[in-house]
Amino acid sequence: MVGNSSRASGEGECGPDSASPHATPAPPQDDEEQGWLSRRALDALPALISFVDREERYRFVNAAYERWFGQKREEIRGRTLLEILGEEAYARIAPYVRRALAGESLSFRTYLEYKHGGGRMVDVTYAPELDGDAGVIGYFALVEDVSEEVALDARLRASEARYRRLAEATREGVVIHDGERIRDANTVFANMVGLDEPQMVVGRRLADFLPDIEIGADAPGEDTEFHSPRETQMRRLDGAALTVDYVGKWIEVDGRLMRLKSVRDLTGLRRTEKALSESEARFRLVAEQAPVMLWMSDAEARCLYINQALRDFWGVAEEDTLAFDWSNTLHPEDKPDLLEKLTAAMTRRGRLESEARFQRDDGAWRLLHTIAAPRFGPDGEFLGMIGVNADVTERKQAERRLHLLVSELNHRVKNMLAIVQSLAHQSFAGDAPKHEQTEAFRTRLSALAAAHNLLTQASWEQTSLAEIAEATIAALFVHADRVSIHGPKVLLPPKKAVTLAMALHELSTNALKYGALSTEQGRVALSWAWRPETRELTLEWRERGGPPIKEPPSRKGFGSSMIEQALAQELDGDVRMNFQRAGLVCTVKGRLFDGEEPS
Amino acid sequence: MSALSGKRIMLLEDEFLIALDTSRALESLGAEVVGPVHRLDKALALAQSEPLDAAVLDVDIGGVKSDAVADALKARNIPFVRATGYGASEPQEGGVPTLDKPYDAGKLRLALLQAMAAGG
Repeated sequence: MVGNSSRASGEGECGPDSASPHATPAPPQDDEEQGWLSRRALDALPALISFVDREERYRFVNAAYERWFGQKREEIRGRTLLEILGEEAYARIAPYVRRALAGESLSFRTYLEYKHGGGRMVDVTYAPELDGDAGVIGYFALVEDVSEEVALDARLRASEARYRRLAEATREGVVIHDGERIRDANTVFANMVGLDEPQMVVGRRLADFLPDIEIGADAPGEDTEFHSPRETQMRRLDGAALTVDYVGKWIEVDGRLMRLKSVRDLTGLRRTEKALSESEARFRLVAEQAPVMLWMSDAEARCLYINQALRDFWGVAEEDTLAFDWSNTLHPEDKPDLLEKLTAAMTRRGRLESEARFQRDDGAWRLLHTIAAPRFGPDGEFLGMIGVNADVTERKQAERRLHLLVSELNHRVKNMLAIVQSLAHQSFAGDAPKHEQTEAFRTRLSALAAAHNLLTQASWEQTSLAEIAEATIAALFVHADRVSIHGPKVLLPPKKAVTLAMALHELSTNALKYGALSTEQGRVALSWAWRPETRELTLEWRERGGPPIKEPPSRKGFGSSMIEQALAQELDGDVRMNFQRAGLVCTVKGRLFDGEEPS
Repeated sequence: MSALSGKRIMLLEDEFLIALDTSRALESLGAEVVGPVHRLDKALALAQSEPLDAAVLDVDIGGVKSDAVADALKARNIPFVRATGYGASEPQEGGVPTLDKPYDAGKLRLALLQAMAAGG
């Protein structure tokens, strides 16, 4: 360089009148030949080469100056930097020029807006020339235009930054490979294979992670667009497998065609799908086994699904579900109401609750209680209804029975109170001493209660005559052998049982006061005969051994009414009180009707 | 002088003791008791032909409702009251006063006067 510059310097000293080298392409000789070759070489270069003296004047410029600045080099030589470059460019390089003239070798890149030739990005090198004692006599300058190179680089950097931003912004794994090795990847891809940073993936074989991808399948250029996703298995570094799909694209990186793959992890999606199908299977299992009737309809109230219990009810095979018209099984009387409710519920997308009779497969009408709710799709669209039917036929019957029973019980209790009220009136009427009246009322209530005890034990169905008789006599507190009870088994309905008990109580009380039971020796024989074919009942109360009866009692009180009228009325028969000398004989002839309603 | 004095009032009641008590109450009010009857067929015959000023009907006679007797009375414009142990949901049913058992002479008188006022 120093040697060349020395010659260039010499050439520069040739003065403005020297012949231009290409103007005189004479055959070179010896020293001159070397100088010529050097000049030719310098002129052939695209870069600017010059020598500038201490006064900042061009002493030598190569041919490139003519091309850059559009001036003959003869015109350039001897002119100053400022004159040739212009103020703006000169101001830019002046500091470097001073450093070079101070003896410093330096290089720099800068953008220069030349007076002639426009703006260029340039790489500049200054090399000072020393000449013995004189010191720095000037410097050599090499100026290269790097505008295009820099512009390209900037474009590349911008596009790479953009690509990287995109690649990092996506949730898909992005990998760029050359067919064998990974050249680049984003963080998502690195994480998918089990690595933290994209750089850790670069350089690895793609087949290590995606063994099933056919690398050679795509010919460059013909598949520049993304193809439809292909599913494959990804092998992670830890050995786990992921289900993925990917799309591919050819891209150009640093002037080379590379393959880009965008990889999506489907494992979560597949897991969701699996969970969904399992949940569906679970629902079906539960729905099919459920003892209640479940159904699902579309937005037009057609059956989409009915479970086993409801299919059994209607006698519909599973495959006939969609074609089945359930409204045909609805009771004609209940149809308008249910259809109106259903239409209303579907119109306002609301709940439905109703009771209606449906005909079961065996022809029986069953009362079904239905609760249904609207179904909506993921976007809120109305899909139809889902509902539960419960067969409440038995429950309704039980409710009705219970209601009747309570009503009946209420009636009996009130009747009983009316009877007690009547007993009180009868017992406290008349002029008997008060303690006798009270005692009569008390024992009558006891007899009534005893009869009811028996009826309650028999659940107010029927109770036996013998039991009624025994309970009544037992309440007298007389020795058991003084009253004998004989008769076949006869069942009495409640009302008759109560009346008979009250009548027997009056007979017993009379016997205790005035009759056979008022003495030590007296006896009572109670017996009855029963003729089932005519349902005739004959009952006899026979007293003997009591005080002799001279004449029948003149005053007829409540007791005799109870015996003669009440009993006769109750048994639809005839009651006779025969006051014989040996004692009272009371004969009852009556009838018990078959299938009589208890009241 | 009571408003019921000398009135012929039929009593339909199959419970002897209650019939006994109601008869006594009617008599204490000065009325003349027709019956008491404990059978629907007898009551119906009386309702159709017997000269009556009013009637007291037990609603349930041996498990059968006494509606037929009530209809016969209505046909002759004879006022009547119903007596029931079932518990009246309303004090009047179709303009007919209802006596809830157990009732006393006061309630009986009031119901009868009500029925006779409405009927006559």
